[in-house]
Amino acid sequence: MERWVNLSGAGKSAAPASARTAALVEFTLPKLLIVPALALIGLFVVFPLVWSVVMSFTNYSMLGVTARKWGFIGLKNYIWVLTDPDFQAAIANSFIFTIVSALIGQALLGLALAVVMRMKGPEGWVGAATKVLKVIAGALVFVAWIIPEVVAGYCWAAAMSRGGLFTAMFGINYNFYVRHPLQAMIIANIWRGTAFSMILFMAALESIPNYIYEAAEVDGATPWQRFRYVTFPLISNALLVDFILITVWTFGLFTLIFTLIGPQMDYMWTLYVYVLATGRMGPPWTGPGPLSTAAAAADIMFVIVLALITGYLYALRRLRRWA
Amino acid sequence: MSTVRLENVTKIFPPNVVAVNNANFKVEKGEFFVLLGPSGCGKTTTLRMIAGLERPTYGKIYINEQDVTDLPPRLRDVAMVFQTWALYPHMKVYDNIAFPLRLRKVPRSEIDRKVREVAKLLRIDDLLDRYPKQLSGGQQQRVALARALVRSPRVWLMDEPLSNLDALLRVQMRAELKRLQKELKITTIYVTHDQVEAMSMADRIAVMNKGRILQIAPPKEIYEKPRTKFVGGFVGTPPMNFIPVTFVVENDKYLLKGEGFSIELPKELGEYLREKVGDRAELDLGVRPEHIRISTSEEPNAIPATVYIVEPLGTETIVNVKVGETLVKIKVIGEALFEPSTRVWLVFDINKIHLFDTKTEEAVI
Ligand SMILES: Nc1ncnc2c1ncn2[C@@H]1O[C@H](COP(=O)(O)OP(=O)(O)O)[C@@H](O)[C@H]1O
Ligand SMILES: [Mg+2]
Repeated sequence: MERWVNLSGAGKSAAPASARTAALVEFTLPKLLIVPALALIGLFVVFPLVWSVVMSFTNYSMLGVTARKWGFIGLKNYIWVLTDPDFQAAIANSFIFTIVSALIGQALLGLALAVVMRMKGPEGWVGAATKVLKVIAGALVFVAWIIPEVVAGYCWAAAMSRGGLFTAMFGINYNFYVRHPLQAMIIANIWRGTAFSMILFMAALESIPNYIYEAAEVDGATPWQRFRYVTFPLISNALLVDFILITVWTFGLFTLIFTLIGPQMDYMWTLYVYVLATGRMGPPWTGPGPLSTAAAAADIMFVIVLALITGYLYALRRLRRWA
Repeated sequence: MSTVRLENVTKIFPPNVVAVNNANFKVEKGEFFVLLGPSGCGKTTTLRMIAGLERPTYGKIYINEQDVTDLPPRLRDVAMVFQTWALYPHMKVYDNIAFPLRLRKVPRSEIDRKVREVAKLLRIDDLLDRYPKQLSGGQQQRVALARALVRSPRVWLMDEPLSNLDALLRVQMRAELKRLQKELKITTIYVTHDQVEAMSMADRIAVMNKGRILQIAPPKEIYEKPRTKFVGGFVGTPPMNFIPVTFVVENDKYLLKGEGFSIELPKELGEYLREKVGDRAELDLGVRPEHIRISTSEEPNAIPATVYIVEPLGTETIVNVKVGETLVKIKVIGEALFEPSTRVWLVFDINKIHLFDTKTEEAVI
């Protein structure tokens, strides 16, 4: 109070009032300003989440009798989903797809590219040439990311068709994306998503002051040790953010998969695609558009993603520690 | 125990900043070698070249007479205290200090013993569990120092390692550091802009200015026989006084004539000077504050002056007087009570005066 009084410089009687106003502006107003945002989040995030959990224990559907007269049926939806061979295949696909294309492909490649981008080249014309190459490579990677997913998917489908780029380059004279849909998806997703990880890591690397590396160099650290004990711990937060985001995105990928391997989707389901498909055709106890069964599948996927993220948190915290 | 030798080392930062200009010196085994000079004179750059963090534009660097010019820092086996400390922000103090030992696969128990030992010496043993950002500047600086002292490399490189400590701690750490260096006999190159630090710690001092090394000598010699006006003026507190004078030979007398005074030089000194600079020369008379006596009455060879202001410092007093337009500082032991504007006479200890060529700034005696 005293501080406000002094700051306001007003007369004695006016001071407490202005202090109250100041406190209101400083502390209460920000809280009030959050309310609309919270309301929107509640409406579009919290409510659907809760509703999907509730729904998964019912026989609710989009059409038919169960659309109007629905009731709770216990764990039936979950049991049906979990015992469905298609669902089990989808889980396997999703894991392979996410680990290989997102975690290994995008994140690792993005990190390697970011480290290379930040390296100091040699002096003279070699260095100048390297710099130009870096700019070009960076631009190309970035372009892959801003191209719309639909365009990227069809381009890759064309490249992987018989007589396309793959035939010209590797002599593959069949439709690669038909015979190897998982591999095709992995290639396309790495190509498309590496830029995001690279940019995130470049920003993180940029924030590490150079003198820390100099200290490590004088202290006797080899390039690998400098990466392991200096770079890695200092970008581990960025790594965590990156892992979480690309996992969520890759699990929820649809457009790229649909445009690239569209016709093969039935035997190349990922979890998300399975969820979407189940929404159209489900078990007998629910009508056409079995939203309740799809909700059960979606909730399982939610738990899996959540478990993965928890795993990242734990693993990174361990890796950040010394020895 | 190692030697370090710089041979015609020049560093030019693009486009054309000459940070170090043709440095040549050899640091002997176990020597405490100090690079002394004002800010921006190229001390850090010199040290970084020895560490291997900068590559000399020209010249070669040898450690133990092995050419290390193209060797990366980690293969040079040197330890460095950075001017910016350069602590690892993600490691606790303990891990910061232990880092170089862990890289060398030193057994855990030995690491622990060494880290605690050096932390105790530098009085940061109660901070081992903290992160750098939880420390004050002076504490962080001591962690940086500990990280270098914890191992016994071929050479210790220290870039103003005590600059951020408060006065008392600095004096204590100065002594600890010197004792440790003498005990372990590790060749040390120590950078500072603080001439008291240089004088009190060095076996030899190299005084630098504007990228050039002006003089390399033991502290006593730097103090007593500065080879240039810059060295004379940089070493000593308060700094050496400079009074412009003209050396003339009149009627077989050798005189230094200044604004309103004239000093007769002893015959021997005068003849020597005449041989060096001729019958007439513009010179700067350099005399240290502790080599001037104040007299209240006129004496032969004394310079008239006017008291300007008196600064009592406890055990000594600095009396500022004006000789013509030049301010002269005089160190008087104990108390000295002079009213401003009092007329006084200054008597120089003629054996301890310095004369510098006004143009080249080089010492002529
Ligand atoms: N990386 C650099 N690029 C350009 N100029 C530099 C660089 N490092 C230092 N300098 C310049 O070189 C000179 C010497 O710097 P430095 O060695 O840091 O001086 P000191 O340590 O004696 O204060 C200064 O003029 C400084 O501006
Ligand atoms: Mg410096």
